[in-house]
Amino acid sequence: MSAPVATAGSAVFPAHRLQAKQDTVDKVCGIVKKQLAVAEDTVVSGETKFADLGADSLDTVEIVMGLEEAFSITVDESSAQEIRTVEDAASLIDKLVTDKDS
Amino acid sequence: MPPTARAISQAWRAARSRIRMRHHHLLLRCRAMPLLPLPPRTLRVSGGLVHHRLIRCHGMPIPRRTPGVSGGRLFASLPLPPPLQSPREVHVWYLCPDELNNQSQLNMYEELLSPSEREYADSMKATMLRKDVVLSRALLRTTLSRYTGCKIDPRSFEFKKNKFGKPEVLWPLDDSTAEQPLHFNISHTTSLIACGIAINAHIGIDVEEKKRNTTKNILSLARRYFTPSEVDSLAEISDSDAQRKEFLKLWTLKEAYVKALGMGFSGAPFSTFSIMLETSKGIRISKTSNASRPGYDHLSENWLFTLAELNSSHYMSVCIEDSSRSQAGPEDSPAPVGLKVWKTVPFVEDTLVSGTEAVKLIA
Repeated sequence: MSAPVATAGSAVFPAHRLQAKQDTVDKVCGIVKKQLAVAEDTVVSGETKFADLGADSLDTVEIVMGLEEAFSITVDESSAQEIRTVEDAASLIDKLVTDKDS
Repeated sequence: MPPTARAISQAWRAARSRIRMRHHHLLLRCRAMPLLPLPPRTLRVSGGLVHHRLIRCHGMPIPRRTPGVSGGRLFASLPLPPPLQSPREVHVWYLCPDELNNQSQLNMYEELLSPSEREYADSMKATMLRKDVVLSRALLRTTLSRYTGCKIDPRSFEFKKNKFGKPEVLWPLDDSTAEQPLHFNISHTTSLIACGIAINAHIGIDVEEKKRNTTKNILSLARRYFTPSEVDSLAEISDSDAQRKEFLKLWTLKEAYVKALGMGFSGAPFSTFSIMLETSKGIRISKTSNASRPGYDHLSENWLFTLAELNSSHYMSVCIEDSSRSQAGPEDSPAPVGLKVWKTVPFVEDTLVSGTEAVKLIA
């Protein structure tokens, strides 16, 4: 994974991030399950990789859009590209929400 | 326990009725078929499509797993495709995972994978996804082998990623094929995996099921990710199904461009370039004003596109670099991309489908 590059006006996705809030992780799991029509018995948790759920690029983009709507944030493409797991998405959301509120 | 003589002759009778070979020297051996006592002496030769069937006999040894050795005969059954004649020619090979359920065949494909690819496949918890990984790597390796004169064992290809993560072939330095200007790109949906090959031109390919529905509203998606002119052209379509299909066509074209550029989604955000489908000069791309921000100088417009419908079930977009554009004036229409498409079951059957109903060029 290439190191994130800070460009003016974008959110830098940090290499070492604080653990995402459980609440955020749960909300992300819900959105992901709905988007990918995941079977009821499939476990989706923080560690779940989007690729493991069979998400392709259109799915990912719809998930990101769903997250933007749910949390009232904007995710730029370079950050979206770094998201591999539910935890990644949740951490990014927490950071963007904190930045927005501060 | 070795198979009984009865089992062998039964298997031979069954295999004989299925053997239609073009060249008898394509006989080879694999674990998929039971052991036969002798190579068949008479072969029916088929004309037209190349059909060949794997069979196994004592006459041929099982190839050892030695990378790069052309003595291994397993891959020698891949027939040579017609050569790529120009940088504007693209060959696409695809397979349908749903139709490949023979476990011994799948095991054979798995044998082609490198240890790290197998590890990646094993990391997939869902069986279907694991199968897709195996098939996708097997398709890539066998396709590359075809275009290197079938002289390179599919198992011996090595890959690297460019700094943005786009996979490329790592050609061995001491090999005469080191200067091979072969480029590839892969795309998959659950029902179809496609591998595009071009020579001397970067290539991107994307496939999507025609019937795919989005969970989000089409125009909302377009407003968020596409350009204003693309949103306008979608908004003009009143029929919602037609609008959804147009969205998918644009989506695959834009994905193909991003994949051809090889810089990832963030290297060419969808909002920085517009694709126009219905121009008199075929599919055209143009940068938007968004792209004049610093960081997007690499976005170029000298790319050729082709869009086709596969099996009436999928849209397929191919994007290749157009190196000749610099010589042609802006008024000149670019020559169309020469597209040939094969449906393949590697080592078993290849069917040329371009030029038939199975491949309908849209633009």
